[in-house]
Amino acid sequence: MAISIITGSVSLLVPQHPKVAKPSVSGTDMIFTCSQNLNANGKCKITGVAGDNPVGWTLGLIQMEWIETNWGFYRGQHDSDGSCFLQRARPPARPAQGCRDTLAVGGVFVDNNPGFDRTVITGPPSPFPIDMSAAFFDGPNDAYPLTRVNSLTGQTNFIREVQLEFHFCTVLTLMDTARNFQHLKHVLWNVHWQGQFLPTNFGNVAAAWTITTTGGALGNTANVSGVADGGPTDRRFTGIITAAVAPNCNAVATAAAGAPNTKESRKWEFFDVRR
Amino acid sequence: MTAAGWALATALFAFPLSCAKDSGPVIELGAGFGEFSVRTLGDAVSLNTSVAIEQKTNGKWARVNVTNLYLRESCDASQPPQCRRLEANSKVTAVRWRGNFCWSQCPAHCRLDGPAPPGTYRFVVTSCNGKQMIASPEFEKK
Repeated sequence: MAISIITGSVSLLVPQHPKVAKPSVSGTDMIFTCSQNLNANGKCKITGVAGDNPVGWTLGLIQMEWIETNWGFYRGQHDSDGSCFLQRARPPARPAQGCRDTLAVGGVFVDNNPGFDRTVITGPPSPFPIDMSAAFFDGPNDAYPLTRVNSLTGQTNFIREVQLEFHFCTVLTLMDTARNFQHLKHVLWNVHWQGQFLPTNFGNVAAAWTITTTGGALGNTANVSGVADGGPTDRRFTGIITAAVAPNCNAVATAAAGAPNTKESRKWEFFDVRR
Repeated sequence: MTAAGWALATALFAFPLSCAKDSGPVIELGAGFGEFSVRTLGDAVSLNTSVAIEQKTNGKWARVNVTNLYLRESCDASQPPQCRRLEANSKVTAVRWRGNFCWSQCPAHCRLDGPAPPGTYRFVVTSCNGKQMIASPEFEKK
């Protein structure tokens, strides 16, 4: 008998759903944060017979981001100061939508809850059956500078509107010593922010800003799906879920913020935010 | 000397670690959590601006996946340069570590983030030539 999962022992719970905070100013940035993290806890129990060696078996969570909306619109105080559109979610700034979400570049299992984010069986193992658990939390965040200089007009443009949507899939996965992965359960979740901004004093951005949330009912929300059995089947996930090489979400986001696709205009422009 | 002692001595020789030398740079902790500064006691030095964090577990220090932590005094929008020169007898007080993995210091772009767990930590800075590693005194995160 090979090592196997005890029927009915697998669970993935999301006891705490994320909540998004209203955008706010922090220093020289408009920040988009969570007021409450997502928490997820997975469990399973494996069994075998004498002679089966479970050392190296690992239960962990794999998280992927599969959709990102991320643009910012800047505008000068006056029409002649111009406007700018920064797109962080389209190529070349973001080469692909999908990425795997770990702190360590190249990691597979989430790694931000050391000691609790996975169970790795080490020797000598406990007798069968063996309880395994994996728990993690996440509070995605992002930021846009309050101002940027429009290179066409040479004037300061001020952050006017931002829309962010980060959609994730979190998978409870069991890995054996040969790196065969069994995806046991998964859940989809997302966080959205959208708002318009206006400084009360264009000469002093440290003064208060008028911040108006926009985007309707889903503009500033966090959403969590029900838990589904198995792993995701969509190619956007299967291509990266355990691939030896996959884009790292934090690295991709940081690179896109550093080199966004930028359009500038000499006047207040209506940019197509889809591109 | 025991084998462990020789190993330690060899490691220190290969990669000198300074906590408080008379002439080299030192990392000093501030009064509040995550506050730190680097001070040169003697010669000028070029340091990597990227600051690492290590956690002590079972008596051993191990690197923690904290990113976006730099030797910088303020959170402006610019990316810090890779290296920074500190003049002799100078001091740089960095923006404090917030205790998080990704949004560790200044607003960042994080899809996976969260607080580092409670424990014993230290800051580590390396010289630009990679020959010297400077560690702060240890401190507790609750």
